[in-house]
Amino acid sequence: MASRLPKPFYQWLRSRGWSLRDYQRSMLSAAKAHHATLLIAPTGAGKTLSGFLPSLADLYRQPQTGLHTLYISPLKALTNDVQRNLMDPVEAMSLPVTIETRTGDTPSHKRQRQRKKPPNILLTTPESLMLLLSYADAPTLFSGLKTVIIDEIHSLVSNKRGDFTALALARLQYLAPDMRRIGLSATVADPAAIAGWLGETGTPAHIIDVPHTVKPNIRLLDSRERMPFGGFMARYAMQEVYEAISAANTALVFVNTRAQAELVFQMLWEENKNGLPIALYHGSLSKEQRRKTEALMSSGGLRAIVSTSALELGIDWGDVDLVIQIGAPKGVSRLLQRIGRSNHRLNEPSQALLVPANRFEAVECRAAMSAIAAGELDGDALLPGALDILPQFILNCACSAPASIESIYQQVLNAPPYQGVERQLFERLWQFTVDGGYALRAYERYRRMEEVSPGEFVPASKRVIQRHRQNIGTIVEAGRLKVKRIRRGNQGKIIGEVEEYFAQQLVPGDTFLFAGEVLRFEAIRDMQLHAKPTKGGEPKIPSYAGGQMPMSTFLADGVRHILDTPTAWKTLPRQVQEWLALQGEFSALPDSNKVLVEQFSYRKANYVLFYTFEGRKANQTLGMLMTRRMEKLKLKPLSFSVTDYGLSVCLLEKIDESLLSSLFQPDILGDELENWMLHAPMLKRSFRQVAVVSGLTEQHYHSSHKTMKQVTFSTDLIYDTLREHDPDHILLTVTRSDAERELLDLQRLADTLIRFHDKLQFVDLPKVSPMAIPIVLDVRSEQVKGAGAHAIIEQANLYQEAEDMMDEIKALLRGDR
Amino acid sequence: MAIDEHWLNEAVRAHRVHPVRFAGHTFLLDGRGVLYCPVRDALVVSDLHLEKGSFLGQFANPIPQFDSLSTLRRLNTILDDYSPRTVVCLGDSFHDKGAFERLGTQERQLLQTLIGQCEQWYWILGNHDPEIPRAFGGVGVESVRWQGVVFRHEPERDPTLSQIVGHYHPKCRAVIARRRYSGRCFVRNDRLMIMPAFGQYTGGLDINHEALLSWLAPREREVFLTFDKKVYAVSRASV
Repeated sequence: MASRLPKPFYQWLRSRGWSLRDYQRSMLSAAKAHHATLLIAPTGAGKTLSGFLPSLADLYRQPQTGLHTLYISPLKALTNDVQRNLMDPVEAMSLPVTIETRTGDTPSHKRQRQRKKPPNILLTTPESLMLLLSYADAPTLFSGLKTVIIDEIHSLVSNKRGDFTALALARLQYLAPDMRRIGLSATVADPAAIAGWLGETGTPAHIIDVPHTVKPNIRLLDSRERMPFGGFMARYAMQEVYEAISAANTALVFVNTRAQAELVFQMLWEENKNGLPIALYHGSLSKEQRRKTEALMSSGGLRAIVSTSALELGIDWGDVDLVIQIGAPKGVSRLLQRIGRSNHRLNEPSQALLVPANRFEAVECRAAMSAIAAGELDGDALLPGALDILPQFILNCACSAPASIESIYQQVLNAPPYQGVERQLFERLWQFTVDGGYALRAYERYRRMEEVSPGEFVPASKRVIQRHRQNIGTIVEAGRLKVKRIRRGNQGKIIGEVEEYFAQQLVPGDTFLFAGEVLRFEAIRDMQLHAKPTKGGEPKIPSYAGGQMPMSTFLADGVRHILDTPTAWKTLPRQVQEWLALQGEFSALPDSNKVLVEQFSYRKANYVLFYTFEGRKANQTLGMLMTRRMEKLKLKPLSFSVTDYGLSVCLLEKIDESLLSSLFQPDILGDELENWMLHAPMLKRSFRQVAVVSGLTEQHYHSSHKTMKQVTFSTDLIYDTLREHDPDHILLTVTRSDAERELLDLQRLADTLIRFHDKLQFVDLPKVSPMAIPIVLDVRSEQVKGAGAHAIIEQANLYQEAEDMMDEIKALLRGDR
Repeated sequence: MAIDEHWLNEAVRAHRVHPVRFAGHTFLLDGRGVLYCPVRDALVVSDLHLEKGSFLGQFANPIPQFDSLSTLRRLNTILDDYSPRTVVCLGDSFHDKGAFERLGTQERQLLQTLIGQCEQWYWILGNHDPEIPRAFGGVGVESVRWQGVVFRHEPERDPTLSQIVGHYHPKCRAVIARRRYSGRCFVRNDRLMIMPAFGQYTGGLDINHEALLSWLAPREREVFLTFDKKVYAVSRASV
């Protein structure tokens, strides 16, 4: 009977004081009966073990050599954690099963050995899997594969990394036709969508949905301190956060960005009079540092960890009994996932404390709490697969074995996000992979792939293969520099990485906060940032472009609802209620029937804020179009920034109420959109990603750094060149669809413009309104190149000398030398 | 000389050009990244790096190889404005030895036309192009000296010279009234003027990089930022 476990398993479960749960039993039968099974269960339900039970039972009955089960996790840290947890039953029952991890951190000798002599169960990440698939021995390695388990699957749907994973699954299925798929997911808004993603095209996965039984216990901090109007660091609340940590056994403190993590960690240590062991964890710290923290945590040696989303997925250690969220929760599902990190017992409620950094965030926290109480979740709509990943996939297949267009096309269609890709489009992407696909110039000599027999293509050289392997992956990151903590001379230890962009702003002597201490910048040598530990000063904080999380649209609606319903304010901390009342008196409160527009001066410029509550994408597009229209009206826009609530434009001129209707006007979609699409810096940004992902330019280059320097001229230049000389090039098509996918949300914007264009409430204010403070303090703004920017760059006092020289030149021009 | 007083007034007013005095002469810095010398009716352009795209292509980099065409067309537009008697290319005009062969027909013809329009065309030799085939037209030279000013690719450590050079591809980031600007730039002191690179696919070196600081220290340098085809003097405090 497939749905029964072998005897020793029952004994083992009993010895742990567990019993087989109903859904775990259904997993056993479902995994046999279906090609793909999706298990949706709340955290703490033993989800990961459930995914492995069928494989472990199978291997117990029929011990084998070679790969049986592949486990794919979105996080490296998770593979280590899962290995730890699996070794327990394997050792307790002396199962004849070998288990190993393989990630970017795995030493190369071990990786080579794994290809020759693979373990029964291999735990890996999507990038490492794709790399494995690029080797010539991939067909042999995977031919006997029986099961693939994809963990935290909800975090892979509707992003490029997920698209990439879907393609890898399709390739695996081609190599191992009998392979079964098991997906593990946290509770999501739309299980059917994920089931469709997990199965092969046209065959959605069978769903086992374990309901949430116990609602978490969430508290919103009602601080005794004064809560600020703006800011994102929650310094005011640190003492209370520390008290909460002291009262708990082990607490996880989640923040939204790495910069926040560094600062919060620093502030907590300032409070830490009792010397509690509190650690810091984020993705830019070195592997050794992260491993140390993970080990300390699992042995119960820590009272708290300050962490970014790097720890939010599935890691299962210690006795975390409190989750503290600092800053806005950004999304209901995300918050629930984070809260689920505490108390891994299914029948007891998780405990959480929400600490908003400013008063606006308090409203957002409240909206998220209401949604959780009502059992509502936010979810991203499913997007078609990103096209720039296809050239990478094509080359990856060809690296492993000669590839034909038809065979690869069929594999691509079998990945659900790519089921709609048309043959003609695929052929252009194929041609791009072969020779760059340029219309004007054929580059016979510079092919990336060549035809070895009719219809069969292989990479043109070893070099192509090598470069491809070094650049596998879809997550485009800014250039990174390793941080070396110098003790004396040039001696020291690598403690992590910062973005090149941040490093370039530093001059020797500057101090910055990293890995929990203050460092003084010395120099950049050999692609390393050298810095010495120091004390005091006002340290800068490294910022990471990739670290920002967009908020879900769903939550933005919740916030609008609270603002619009004064009776709901009672549930907010008193300080927040006072702030809302103040906003109502000083300016106005946004309501559902009008769009509030505020104008005020701030830092010598003029700001106009549109409270649309239409989400980041739609606001971003509105910002681009609006500033173009403003440029036309000679209002000299300088920059704009968006939040999920609205759009803030900074300009030199003041706007008049009569102008509003021509700004917030549906026709900006027609007039400006096409123009914008062609010239937008946003499109250049998309191109930057597309160029790297599709292999047009590389992040890593095999030889020296000097060579890399030569290659890394700006992709903006390539974009301009391509648009001028080959406007129909496939990558421009891809860029455009990428921008539409990631940025536009045109439908939503059009609806808003039509609905509200004559329903604006304009308020001209002497200074910043209470509600606008967190928005104008958000520095991530989009610069506008136009008359305004030119007006500012002109530092008038520098041109006196020039005036004097003019006469001389004019004399020359007249010919009297 | 094609420019006139009217053109000059307009261009200076709109920050398309900026006059500077160097070694006792007046020069015009053009926001498109070239330098014009009115007394000599000469246009100076640096680091064209022609055929860099196809150079990278040889290493299976599928980058679009229209860079030479773009570079030459931009240069053509500028030459139309000034119609100079002399053109001085300050070195690294070709990205590598094989560039001459790889140059496409269209690019080759355009380049020959440009050379043919001038009375004199100097190819100053750079580290990327230590030789220029004679058949190409123009004269390959180590340096050009003229009334106390030396035009060469890389500067020499000789404090008695006034030098105009390329090689370093200077760029800068400036913060002016809380806004960030960045772009290729001219950077100079009393004795040395370093030109921005002109080639389509040329990256840049920040003026605060040690290689550039060793020539032009912050206290004595002046920076002229090119931004959106215009050129702006930038105060020392902003860079």
